[in-house]
Amino acid sequence: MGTPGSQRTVQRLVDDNYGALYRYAYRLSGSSADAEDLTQEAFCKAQSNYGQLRDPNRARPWLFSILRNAYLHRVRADRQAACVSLDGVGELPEPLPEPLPDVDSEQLQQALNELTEVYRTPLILYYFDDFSYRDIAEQMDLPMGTVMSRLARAKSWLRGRLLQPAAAANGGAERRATDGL
Amino acid sequence: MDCKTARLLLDYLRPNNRELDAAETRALEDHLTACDDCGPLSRGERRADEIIGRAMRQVDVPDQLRGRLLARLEERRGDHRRVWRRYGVRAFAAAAALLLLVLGLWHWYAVRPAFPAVQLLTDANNIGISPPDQKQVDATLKGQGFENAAPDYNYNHLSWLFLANVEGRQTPLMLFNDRGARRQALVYVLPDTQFDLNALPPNPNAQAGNEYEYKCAIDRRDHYAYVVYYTGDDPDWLQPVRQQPGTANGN
Repeated sequence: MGTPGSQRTVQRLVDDNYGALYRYAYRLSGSSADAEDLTQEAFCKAQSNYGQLRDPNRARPWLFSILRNAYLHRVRADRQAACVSLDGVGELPEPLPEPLPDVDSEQLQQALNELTEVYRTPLILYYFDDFSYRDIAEQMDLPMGTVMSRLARAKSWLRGRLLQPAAAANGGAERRATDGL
Repeated sequence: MDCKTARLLLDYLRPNNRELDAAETRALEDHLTACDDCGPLSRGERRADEIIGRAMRQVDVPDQLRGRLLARLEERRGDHRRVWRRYGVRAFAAAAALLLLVLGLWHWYAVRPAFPAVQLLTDANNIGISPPDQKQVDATLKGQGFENAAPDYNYNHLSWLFLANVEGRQTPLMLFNDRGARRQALVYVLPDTQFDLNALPPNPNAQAGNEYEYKCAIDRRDHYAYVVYYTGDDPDWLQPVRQQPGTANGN
């Protein structure tokens, strides 16, 4: 167990990060109630174990990592949720239509909900713009090459799903009832 | 930069690009500006990323979330403090009990003399003198750091003078033998500088038992206690022979 953070330290941690953390939690879980619970849990753990944070400048990746672990812990029993397989999805970008359609936040969430966590997490972190590939790799404890490969496939699938609806309907992403990406 | 390299590096060209150095970024951007294939591809990628990224970040954060988070954290902090206070009280009580136990054991072992007479005899370091008078014994004991330690006993019966180990301390032990009467006595000399003489048992025979068929008596003098283990009825034979009035002149 680490050293608890002081009240002022923790308050600053909350002020600087609660919005980003909540958005991340929402995109991971797809539910505002779960997002708030996860955000709460992440800050509680951060408060209790603040001594484990070696570099205060790395507070945000640390918090995101805590939140992801909390999320994974919750969904561990729910691994049979229906997810799409990206086995057949290529990494090279498909030509995009002109003009590009706008993407609705809820539409995006529905698409994210179809992805297994190993693709969803790097995608969210990538589009949050706060994290480099190296940061994402550290968060997921994966080699950077693996992260980039997953990202390329997930982005390609997401674009097909959101920006080329017709292609997505006929495309290589087939639904299946396991988490075996 | 050629198109192949540019396509490889395109993924790294992000708003918060931290993976390409300045020279690589400039070279890539120059290529994208000049290349009719890579330029449009790159701009399309960026537009798609912007659209999806904007949607990704478009999550309404509840108005009261910050307040709820801080309130919950304060509540948890209180729980944490209460838990630690409870553990602290228990830990303090346990530490105090342990300290008392250690002090008690230390006091018992360090201060209370024990009477392992035979065992001490076998452990004793013989510095032997024989057969002395009180002055000689006193001088010998003084040489070992025991001032005025020789009581006025009948040293004609003294067979050995040892330094014996009593509770980790070297202290004199005298062996008296009255061969004619087949009596023996062991006398431990316990100085009050090394032992708490008040802790000596008031009824030493009850502690000593009769395993070695010795009886025990304690002879208390200034600054010393003489713990006497003896055989026979009493230890009076250790006392010096008092000359009867009128015998000194040979009558």
